[in-house]
Amino acid sequence: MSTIALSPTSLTIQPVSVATPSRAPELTRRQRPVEKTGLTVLVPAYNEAKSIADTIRSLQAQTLQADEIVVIDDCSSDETGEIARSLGVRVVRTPKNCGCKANALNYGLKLVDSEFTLAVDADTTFDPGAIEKLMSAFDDPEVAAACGFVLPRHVNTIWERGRYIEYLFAFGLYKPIQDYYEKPLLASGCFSAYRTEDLRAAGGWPTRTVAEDMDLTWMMYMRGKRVRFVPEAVCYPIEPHNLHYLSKQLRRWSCGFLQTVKIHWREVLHVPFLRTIVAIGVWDATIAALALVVLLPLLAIFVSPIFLLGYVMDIPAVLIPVLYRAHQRGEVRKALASIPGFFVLRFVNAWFVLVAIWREVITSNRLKTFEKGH
Amino acid sequence: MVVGLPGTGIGGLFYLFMALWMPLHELYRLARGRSSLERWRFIAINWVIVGGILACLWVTMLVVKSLLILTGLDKPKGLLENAGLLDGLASETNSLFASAGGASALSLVALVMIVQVLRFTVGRSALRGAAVKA
Repeated sequence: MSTIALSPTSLTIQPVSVATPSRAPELTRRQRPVEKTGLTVLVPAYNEAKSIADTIRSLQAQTLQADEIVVIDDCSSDETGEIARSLGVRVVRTPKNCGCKANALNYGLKLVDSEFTLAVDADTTFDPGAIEKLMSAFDDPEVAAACGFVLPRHVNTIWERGRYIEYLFAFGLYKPIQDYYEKPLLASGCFSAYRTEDLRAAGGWPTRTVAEDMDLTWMMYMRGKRVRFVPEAVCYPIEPHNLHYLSKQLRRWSCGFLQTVKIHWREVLHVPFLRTIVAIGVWDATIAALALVVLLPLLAIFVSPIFLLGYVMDIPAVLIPVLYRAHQRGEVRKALASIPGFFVLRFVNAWFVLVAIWREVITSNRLKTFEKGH
Repeated sequence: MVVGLPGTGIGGLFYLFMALWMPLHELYRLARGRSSLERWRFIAINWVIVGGILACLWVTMLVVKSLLILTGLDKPKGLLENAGLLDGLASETNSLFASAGGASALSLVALVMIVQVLRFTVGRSALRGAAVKA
């Protein structure tokens, strides 16, 4: 049905559409008049044609809608940009490939004029209320960044299963304790929100390490800001499904951690609690890795096989918090079936940590390339 | 991103201790008017989890000890058998557990002390959380 209306500004006669409720074309979520939430979502993407649609749809299905979703197409050679554009989000293409996620995010940050910026990976989906829950952390004006609970979207291969247990354990026990003492070790890069002003004051995402999320989080602490972990805000990235991609990811994570420690260790010493968890992280990454990869096999061969028990002695310590979180999610069977994968992944993880120590600390051969882990 | 190797080393021990420390920390916050029921609920949940971990570790110790004695694997074998260097450690599973736990606890205390010493002796760098060139 059509009618005539007077435009109060121009006093010209314009046809406007007045639809009856029963015949109203359903407005998409994007078209609905919503209040400004002061949030811009940045989605850096390089050849993510297979996963970008799920990420955008998940963002569009949130209970709290962002003012704008910006996909930063980092010169993809596939149809990432076209797919994103077809879903109604803003797509910007970088003039040339940025080489790392941090550069792509900084490219997008220039376009942000909202109070908050949410950075998400282009392979990540979210619980419908994840963003709303995450943003509640910013009720505290001192909070500069907030991150959520991370769980693998697919839990099929041994590597995904290992990661599933690793995340249930780390995000279910370690991170809440870190948050209680007001120092989460890092705001995970796949799903973290920032107060834009604080983000810009820190210079955006650092490009000097391959662990931009950790580098930025520690920068926030050094600037006297708070970072929060919101366990109710759950996201689901795609984790490496085979050893090839896993090795790329673990190489980047291990080297990135050491690079960040090398840059910040003096300053970190003056940040309460963070200094202790970083020191323990370094210790575990070196001594525990050496014990797993070198010491235990030697002891098992030359002294007694009972030392092989060292690989699995901490099953209870891992199992209790994991099963608690799994029970909350109704995934106890999945967790129990995934436990062996954790111990395999941990051994592989230890190996890559030792390689990273050799590379970053002993030979100073810094990892500079940013490779995707899936 | 997960740093370190969850479950192993002194990290696990540290987080257990920090969970057990929470009520004292919360009493401090309570005295300053910064506590809440929600926070006490969180502490209670963590105490239950930590209690479960400790109980399971104890049961594991008993089970492993029984298994080792039953299978005879608690006796040292191999190159060091004759040297007797690790007799006391390997043949006595209680000693094994105590040694491992004690070594972890000592390492943790030493590490925390080293961090505290460094804190007072190492000056801040010029970086001081300054903005980085993006």
